[in-house]
Amino acid sequence: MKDLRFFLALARPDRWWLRLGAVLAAITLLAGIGLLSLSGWFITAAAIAGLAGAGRSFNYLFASGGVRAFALTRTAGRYAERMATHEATFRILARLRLWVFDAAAPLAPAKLGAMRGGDLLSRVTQDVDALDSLYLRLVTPVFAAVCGALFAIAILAFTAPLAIPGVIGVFLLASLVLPLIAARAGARPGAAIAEASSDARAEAGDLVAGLAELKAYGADARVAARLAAASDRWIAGQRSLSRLALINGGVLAFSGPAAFAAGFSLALAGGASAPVAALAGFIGFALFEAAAPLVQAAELYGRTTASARRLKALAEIVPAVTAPDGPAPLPGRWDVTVRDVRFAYPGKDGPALDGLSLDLPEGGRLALVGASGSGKSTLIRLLMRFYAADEGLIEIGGSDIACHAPADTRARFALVDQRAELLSATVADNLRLARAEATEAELWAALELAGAKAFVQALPEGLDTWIGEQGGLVSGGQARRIALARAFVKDAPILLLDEPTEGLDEATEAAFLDALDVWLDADPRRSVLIVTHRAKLLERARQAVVIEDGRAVETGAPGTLAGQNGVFARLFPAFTG
Amino acid sequence: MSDPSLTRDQRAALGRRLSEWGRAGEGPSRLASGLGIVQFVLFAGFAWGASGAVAALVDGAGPWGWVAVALGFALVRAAAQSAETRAGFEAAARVKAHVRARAAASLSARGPAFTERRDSGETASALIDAVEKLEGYFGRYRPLMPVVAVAPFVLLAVAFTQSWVVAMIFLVTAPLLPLFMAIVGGSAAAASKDQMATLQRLAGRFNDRLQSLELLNAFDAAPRERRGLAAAAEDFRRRTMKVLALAFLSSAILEFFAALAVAATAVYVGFSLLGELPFDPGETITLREGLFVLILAPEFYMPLRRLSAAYHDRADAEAAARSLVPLLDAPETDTETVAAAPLAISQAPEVRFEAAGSVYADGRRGLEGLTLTAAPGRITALWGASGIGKSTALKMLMGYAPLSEGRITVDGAPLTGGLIGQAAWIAQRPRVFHGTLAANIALFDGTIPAARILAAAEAAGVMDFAASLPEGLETKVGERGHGLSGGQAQRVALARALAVDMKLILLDEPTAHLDGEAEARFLEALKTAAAGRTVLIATHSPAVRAIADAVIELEGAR
Repeated sequence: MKDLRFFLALARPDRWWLRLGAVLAAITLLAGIGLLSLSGWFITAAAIAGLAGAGRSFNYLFASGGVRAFALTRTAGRYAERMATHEATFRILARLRLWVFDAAAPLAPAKLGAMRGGDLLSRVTQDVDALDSLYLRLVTPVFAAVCGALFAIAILAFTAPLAIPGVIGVFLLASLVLPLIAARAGARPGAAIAEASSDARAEAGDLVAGLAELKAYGADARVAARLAAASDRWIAGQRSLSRLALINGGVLAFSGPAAFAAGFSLALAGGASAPVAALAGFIGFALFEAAAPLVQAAELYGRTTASARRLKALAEIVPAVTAPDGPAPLPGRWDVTVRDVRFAYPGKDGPALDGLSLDLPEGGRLALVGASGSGKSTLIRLLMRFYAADEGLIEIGGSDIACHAPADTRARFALVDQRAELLSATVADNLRLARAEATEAELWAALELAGAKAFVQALPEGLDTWIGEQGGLVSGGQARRIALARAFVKDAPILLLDEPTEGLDEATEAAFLDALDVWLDADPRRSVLIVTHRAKLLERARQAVVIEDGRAVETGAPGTLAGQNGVFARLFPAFTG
Repeated sequence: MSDPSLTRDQRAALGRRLSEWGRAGEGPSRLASGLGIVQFVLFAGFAWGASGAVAALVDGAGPWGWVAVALGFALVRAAAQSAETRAGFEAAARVKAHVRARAAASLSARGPAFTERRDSGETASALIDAVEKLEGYFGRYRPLMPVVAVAPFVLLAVAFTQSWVVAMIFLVTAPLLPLFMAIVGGSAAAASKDQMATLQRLAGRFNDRLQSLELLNAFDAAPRERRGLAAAAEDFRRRTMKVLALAFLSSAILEFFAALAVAATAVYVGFSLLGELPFDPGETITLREGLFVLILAPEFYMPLRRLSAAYHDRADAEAAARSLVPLLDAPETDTETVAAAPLAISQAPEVRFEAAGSVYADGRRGLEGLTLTAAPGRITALWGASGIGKSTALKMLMGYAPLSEGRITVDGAPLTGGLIGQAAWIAQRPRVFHGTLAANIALFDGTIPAARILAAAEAAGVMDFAASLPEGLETKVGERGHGLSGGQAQRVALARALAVDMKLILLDEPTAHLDGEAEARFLEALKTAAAGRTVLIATHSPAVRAIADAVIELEGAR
């Protein structure tokens, strides 16, 4: 319930839509009760008056007018109610999606790695969808049912007070007690459904994205079987839920007539006239229109709370790096200084960086080399403020980066990491990720620098070509070149390149290095940090730092280091400078 | 009921598809329909008892026997309603399981040439979400159709025995309904399809952006993407409300007629009992008859109201069918694996390309005139710049790319289909499947003994990192290799090839995403693993080239 309340609070900005919907729902229900009970009373009373030959003196204007008014109110009320509640629901759903995005964004990448991609997707689409029932099928029906019950009590209090316990008693039993039992019983299949649907989603993703590998081994049928098994578990969970619905639905279907009988009988026992007894019976009968949605709400309760709990857990994760209170403006210079930095990944034993120190002055060209796992990529993650150093100091222009907003620090760097990840969007969108206002000419210039101009021109729609998931339509080398171009578009003073020419052939690599020189020479203050294991890239570096076990073990010009009989010489035996 | 963007033929075709899928749940669906009709008969029984009770009271007789009759009918009706819901659920469950399995089977038959051209998130979502969208149609809508056709006439006949005027009230208001609903429902269906497409795009975009949050953060673009997502969600809301404004109109019309029928019945019966009718209907109505038809009145419209409430189920199902049908359609020619006796490879084979070329169905040329011989038991590197057709050559061997020109032979036998189940495939970015490391190596084949998996893991260098994991080979790894680096995933992929002892290994730029250290480690494992196997590697890495026994240089468009 606590988790649900949290999401109810999220709906505050749209509360007027919700309230409007609830009021309209109540009006519709009251009109329905009025319509049926007034009709029942009218017919019975008319029969008695007719038998007594008093037809002419019977005041039928009130009754027939009331019946027509209720009929119209009911129609209009139902339509307006549906529009209002759905409007509210979609507004809140959008808010919820963005809330999830906001909750997840600061966690990337440090705190999201542990979660499966499929899970994250499942959270947003499934859980958000599940929560739509929270507003539409929980809040509104409860309000309407309460109004309906009060209305019924009010009428009966004046006409047949003794019928109140019968009508309201059966109503409470069917609309409150049963749903609560159902809610309790529904929690388990609700959780099982969420689990099984996540599994099915993961299997479907595996089958589609891993088909080339699966098929080669003839293993596609096995994954298809796993998908079928997950799908069966999912359906079995739905079946358990639907069994509850059966019990509820059956009892509910019987409760309407039972309430008719209870209201009718008790009113009689209280000495009511036949028309009034009919009125009491019909009130009980009509009130049950409000009970059905309550039962449905309870059936969904299990699924909804499970979703709410998982979504809320996302918000409770503390980001690895938070902006300081009152962040300082970045200084005008952008020399990078790293001093005695220590860092260990949470949950990992050994440190990734163990007292690393290095300098990247303005205009510097620094190569970072070392075996994989030595800590090169970790340094980039610390510079990008994806993680915070455990000890030591990282400064930009002489100012500790911990004093600045992470976004400000990131604005100084343009990163091309090993994966060269692309968004599922057009080439232009991917490039403008770096700078939204970049002109088309600037995009082409950046593509040319990155050696991607010719190939993008050859794409069916040029810059507007949609490059699929993980750059599905482009090869690995092409994706890397687009990622490079994106870094150029950003026009940040410090380039961070993690294996930038990986996957490029030698001619393209050479062209890229020339382009990099051009870019760096255009402004003497621009600097670059290249993580690489390729000798070609070292030729252009002025300084190299060799990292081993999270520490800088050798620092100097590559040519000088090659002459010493150290780690560098061992890593690059053929390097001559 | 026309959807402007669908031709009559397309609609009919979709309808045929749905009917065909429905056969999987035919039995329970019929049962649900039968129970649905019976319910209305039972309801008439309840109305008979309830009206009898009031009438007996007015007559001064004891009402209790009538009350018992009413409750008895109500009880049986409740049971019938439960059973109807149950049967509908089973019908839908069977159809969903059937369609999901068929779509999965069809996808694997069509192969990567098909899936690689589509967004894999969208395709996977069709398997999950679109299939789920069939539930309402097969569980509610279809079983209701016979009920709508029969139940109102049952009630009408019952009403006719009581009062022909009331029966006429029912009859006059009823035929208008399907007409109105058809007009309103048709436009709702059109808008609903639109909405489904928007929803899919929305979900795809959310998925992609959530997966790419690190990238967005690196460029501080998360706030901007958030605005984009907000606009998309807003767009979705506006479109959906447009659909609903129409969809709700159809139920409002029903609501209106149902309320009107109750009101008209009440007024007619009341005035008739008072003797104040302005015309002579030629019938006298008793209180019992009057109450009886009054209780029946709202129920007369119930089947139509239920159908109207389920109307979007049909639109949903049609939209879902539209996204599912492409997955289920017969394979296109370029991906077709010709049904021929598959080549069985039992020892390191010799592979020859003779002026082999490949042109995809959409006209893209993948490869032109390639001639090469890969000697048995050797490592052969296909060398060339990216995009030159190296990968296509490998794909042709698997049947993932069409063999349009020339021929390919394996140990002298011409390749007709692909080498499915006969060759190991190691991709640039191997997929790490949802399961344990061991299951990833055995690819869920339970018949591979644990010892062989372990041996393969050791030979491929998987144990170098798996040994330090908390649960070793039983550690769960998941979508997109969270927790596994590129080099580790490559070694898992190599272990796959060794666990099933494939004699032909195809590697598509296996080290393109590895650093030098990881590449060296992978190549070392590969060299050992290559003994007694034919290995073909598409690559432009000098380190890979260095371990190859032969290098085939691809140039230009060949």
